[in-house]
Amino acid sequence: MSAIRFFHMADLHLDSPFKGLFGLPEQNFKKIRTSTFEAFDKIIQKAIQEKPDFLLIVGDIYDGENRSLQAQRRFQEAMERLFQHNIPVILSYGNHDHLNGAWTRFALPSNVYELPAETSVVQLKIRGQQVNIYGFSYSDRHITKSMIDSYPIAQDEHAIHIGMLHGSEASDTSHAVYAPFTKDQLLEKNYHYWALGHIHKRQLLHQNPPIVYPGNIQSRHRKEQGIKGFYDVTLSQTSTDLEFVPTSAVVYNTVEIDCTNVFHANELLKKCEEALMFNRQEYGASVVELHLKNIDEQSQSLFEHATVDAWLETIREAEDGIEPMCWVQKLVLHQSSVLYEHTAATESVMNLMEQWDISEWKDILKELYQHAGGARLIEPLTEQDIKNLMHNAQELLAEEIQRV
Amino acid sequence: MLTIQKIQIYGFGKHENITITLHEGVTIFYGMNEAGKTTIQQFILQMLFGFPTRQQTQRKYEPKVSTKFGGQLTIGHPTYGQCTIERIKGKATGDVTVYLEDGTIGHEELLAKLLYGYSKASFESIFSFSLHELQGIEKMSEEELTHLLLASGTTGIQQLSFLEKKMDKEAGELFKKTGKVPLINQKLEHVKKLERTIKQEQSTIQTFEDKLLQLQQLDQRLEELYSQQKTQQQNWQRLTILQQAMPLLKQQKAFEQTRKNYEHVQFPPEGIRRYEQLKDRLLHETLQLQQLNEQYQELQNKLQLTVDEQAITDMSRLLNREATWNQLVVKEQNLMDELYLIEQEIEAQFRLLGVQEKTAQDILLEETVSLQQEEQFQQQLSLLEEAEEELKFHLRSLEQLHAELDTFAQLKQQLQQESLSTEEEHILAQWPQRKRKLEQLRFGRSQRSKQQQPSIVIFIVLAISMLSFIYGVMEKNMAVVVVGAVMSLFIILYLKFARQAHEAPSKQQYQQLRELEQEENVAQAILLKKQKLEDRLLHVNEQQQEKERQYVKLEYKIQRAEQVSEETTQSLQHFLRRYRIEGNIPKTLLPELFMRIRGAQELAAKKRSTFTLLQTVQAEKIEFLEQAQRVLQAEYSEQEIFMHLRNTLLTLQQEQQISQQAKEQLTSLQTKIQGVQSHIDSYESEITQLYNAANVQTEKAYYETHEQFEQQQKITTELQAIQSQLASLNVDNEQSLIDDKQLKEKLLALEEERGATQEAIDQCLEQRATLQIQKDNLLNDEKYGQLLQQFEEEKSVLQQLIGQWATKKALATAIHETLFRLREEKLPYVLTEVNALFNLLTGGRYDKLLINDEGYFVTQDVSGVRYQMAELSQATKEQAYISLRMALAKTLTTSAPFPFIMDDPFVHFDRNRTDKMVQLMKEVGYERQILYFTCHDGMLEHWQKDQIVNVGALANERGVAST
Repeated sequence: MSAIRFFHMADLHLDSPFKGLFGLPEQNFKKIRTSTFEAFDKIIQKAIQEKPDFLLIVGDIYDGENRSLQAQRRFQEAMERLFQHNIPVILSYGNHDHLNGAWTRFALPSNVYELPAETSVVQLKIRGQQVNIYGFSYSDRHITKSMIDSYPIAQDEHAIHIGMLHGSEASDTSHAVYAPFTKDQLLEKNYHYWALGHIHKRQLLHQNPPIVYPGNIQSRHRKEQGIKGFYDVTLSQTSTDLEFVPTSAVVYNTVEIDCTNVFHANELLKKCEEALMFNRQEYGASVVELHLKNIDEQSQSLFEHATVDAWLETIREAEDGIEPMCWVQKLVLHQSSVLYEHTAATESVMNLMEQWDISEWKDILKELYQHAGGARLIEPLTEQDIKNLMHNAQELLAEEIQRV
Repeated sequence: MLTIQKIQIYGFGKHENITITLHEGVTIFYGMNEAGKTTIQQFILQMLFGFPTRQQTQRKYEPKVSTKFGGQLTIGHPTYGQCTIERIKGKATGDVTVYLEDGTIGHEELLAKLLYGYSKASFESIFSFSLHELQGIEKMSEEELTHLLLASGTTGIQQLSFLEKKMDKEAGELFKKTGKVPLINQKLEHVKKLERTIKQEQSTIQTFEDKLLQLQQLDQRLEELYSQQKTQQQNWQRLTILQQAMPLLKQQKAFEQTRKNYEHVQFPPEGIRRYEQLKDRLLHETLQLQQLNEQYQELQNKLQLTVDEQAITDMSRLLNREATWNQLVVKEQNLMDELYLIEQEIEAQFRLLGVQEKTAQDILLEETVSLQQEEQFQQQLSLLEEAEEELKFHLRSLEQLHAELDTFAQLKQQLQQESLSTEEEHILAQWPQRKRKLEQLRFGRSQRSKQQQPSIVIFIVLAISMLSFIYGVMEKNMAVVVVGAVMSLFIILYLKFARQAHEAPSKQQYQQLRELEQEENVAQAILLKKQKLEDRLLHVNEQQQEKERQYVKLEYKIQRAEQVSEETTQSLQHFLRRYRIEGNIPKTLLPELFMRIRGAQELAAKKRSTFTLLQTVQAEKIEFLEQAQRVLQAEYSEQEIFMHLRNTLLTLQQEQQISQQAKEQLTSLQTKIQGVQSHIDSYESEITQLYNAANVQTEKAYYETHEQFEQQQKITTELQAIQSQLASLNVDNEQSLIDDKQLKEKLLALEEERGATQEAIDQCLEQRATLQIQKDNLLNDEKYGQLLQQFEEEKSVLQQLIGQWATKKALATAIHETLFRLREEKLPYVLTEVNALFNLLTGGRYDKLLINDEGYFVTQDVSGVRYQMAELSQATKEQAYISLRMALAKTLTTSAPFPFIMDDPFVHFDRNRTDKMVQLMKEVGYERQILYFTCHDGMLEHWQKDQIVNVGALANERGVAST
């Protein structure tokens, strides 16, 4: 029996905006904006060049209600191109592009199998090898019930069985829980490959048979760090070969800089530039969070007269215009020691803040968070946010009290 | 109660190796300025909280002279008992070691525990104060003073309150509930606006589907319209056709009406043509018949004439012989020409022969010119030639002899010239003497060598050659002469040489012999020459004589030859004269002459025969002529006769032929007349048939009928044409029976409808194009994506601003709340204490220190009058401040049982108040250790000696504890 080869990708989120970025110059803005397309184009290009047997897209092609026509058009065009090259595509819709949406749907060419809301099977015959692909599309925005029971247990031992599932593992609560499943439940189905989607972080839940989150193809905020892409899978009854293919047009990354023995602004700038250059060579176009580590008493003085924002501006200026872009999104200072000695008064302020519980915090900030007009536009406060907030407030206190 | 029991300085500022033991309660450190009071105070603080770091502004007390830096503090701790804290030079804050009672050794962290986690600043803010703080009160604003009082014992509160205000302000700049200017408010508005735009954009995108739908509908509508248009087009076409067909239809109707009138008319097919043809033919035939009859009559008349047959036969016979006649004429002419030619020729021959006279000619003609005669003539001629030939030969021989004789004469002369010279004659004369001498010598020699004499052979050859030479000369054979001469010369030469070769010299004899022999040779040669010359001369003479004899003989022969020639000529002339030819005729012409004569004779014979022939021909001719004249019965000349004959015959023959033809014609005419008659009959019957067919009797009626029929036919054809046209136009006969006006109205209405439809189509197309463009724009529009990104960006900015605001807000709130708590919770308790203390310190003058509604401190005297702090005296203010501190400390008795460290704060107090102060200190001293630094000796009197440490003396009494 010959092996089959397919591309497994998920969470394209075409033309979805990038979160948490601002102040980008025009060209960077553009680059960032087109990055999802660019990443997707890379896949299509590769598919056309290398002609895999089929493509699996496990949900979230678009970004919900916000999908642009352009995104849909480009997706459709890509599918047309694949059609021209006779490459089948099996796709399921996820929570972001569920079937219940009121948006315009573009007619896709006949090489594309859109899985319906009920779990069903797509059967392909590839060079004599029967391939059964199981999956479903989200009928609604929220499918919180487990769908795994609707997948049949593989019976035909000559066929290759592939499950497509857009959802999260029951234990993983970092994302909104959709169509939860457990690893054991998946393994019980006796499939050769589980093509998962929904979680944007690339993960290999199980080695054999592979249970794979390919992650999204292009990161869209700072939490999605590193190189994104898809899996080029070669599968036979007996063996599997997974190859991760990077597609990121823009890579989110954290760059750390050791500030030991840095006395002068030039030195610091040079170090930053070097680090960013390295990053650029490594990842190409990127958005970077720059962490300055080991700031000692000497280097501390660099930041006494210029604010962090001023430094960020300077570094950005230095990086501006260099291709590929390397946008420093944030500059974080890690001071080696707390230099301020708290007095009883400041300490009592800090103690007070620590004593506040969430409701008290919310009460304090209600002025804004209850603001009639703004509330919708403001991210809801999480515990983590409050922790960060307290931390920031404490730091601000330490910083400001010295200046008074 | 935490007490400092012992101070041990290794080296700190100006102090070195000092140990001070302290008691519980109050200890007064007294010293003049510069004594080192502050140094000790700082020592205690720094031992507890560390040396100042570089960043800190406090003075560093590292000794200038000593290398030791640091010291020990022995404290009594309520929890840990007696402990020793040692701090020496090391890292920035110094290396600290803590020794506990139980032997535990610890460092910073243990020290922090010992100090209840208090920092230097917190410690200082409550437990350590100087005049400085008190003096500042005066300058402080009411509010600040309030805070100060409130926070007394918790320094930094004023900064905190400042910070609170700052944070509040900044937060306010970022966001205000009702504001519009603050950044977040602005941003919110902006983001909202952006959101609205996005919504709008979204709704535009939503229209995409509508547009698609609309487009579909439009397409559908267009299709409908197009089909409608098509129907209308068809209708229009139909109507137009109808319109076109209208006149046709009308015509058709009219024709149909007319046709009815002619329905009964019958007419044979092609009736008129047939009739007219028949009539035509009939007429023709009738005419022909007439003509034929006339001809017949005419021919009959013609046949009356007769023709003479006999004459024709004769004439034709004569004519048949016309060729003979012509031959005769030609022959006669020829003969006459021939005759003339012959005469001419004879004349020419005679002229050639030179015979002019007629008689002579006649005679010549009579002479025989037989072959015998000619032979004779030829013989004589050849004889003459031979004679002349011989003569010529002899003359040539004679000439040759003359030449030979000349040669001999020359030869003789030459020989005479060659005769011996005188010298030779002389040699020859001497020779005989010498010859003897030679013979003697020779004899001698011959003995030595039998010399071969020149062989006889040679001499024989010589002789032969000589002979041959002579013979040559004799025979006049030059070749032999030359050969002989050359041979003999050779041999002679040979002999000469041979002889010379044989001269054999032998010394003198030989020499002599050679000379002699040479002479002999010469002599012999000369001799020989002489002999030879003589011989030759002799020989020449003989030859000359011989030649002269020959010459004479020849001359004779010539004479004879000349004689013969003469004779022959004579005879020849005689011969010629017989033929009347006179004169000298060159010899060459002679042979021809005979031939000429013979030619002339022949010609004469020919002439005679020709002449006879001519006569016969002429006779025949005359006979012929006579016959012709007889036949013609007329006289005609020879030349004309045949022409007339021929003409007459031709005329006669023609006449004969004509009559023959006329006969034939008559027969054919008769048959023709019969044929024509039958034709006429048949035509007439056919015409009758036609009449019958047309149901008429007369021609006129026939024609009328025809016209009617024609009309009918025409109508039928036209009707057919109309029908076919109508058929091609696809007009339905039945339904199309509407009148013109209706049709026009219908067309007009349809036209309008069509216009409307077209307009609708145009509209639809336009709409569709617009929609298409809008749709494409939507498809290609990046604006939405950009807006989303922008929205996210703005949101990020907003979030960041919110973060900043929240931080500031939280901080401000925290500060506010802390301060509030201080005021609300600690203050009432503190205030009670403060009141007691303040009352005590002011000697009961002031009763209360309280906080008014605005949150400021006010004082109330015993009479209940309230004063604002600013209204109080300096000392009272200070007393209020001290009261606050003390009260505050009192509240912290258990949580922070630290000693008070005071640096001369009571200088403004009068005695009374100082007493009160001392009283208070004493009271407090029971609960808390007090270290009081002063330079005023006035204070000393209130305390016992063991409570006083004289700082100035410390330097002198090192290591000695005060007692």
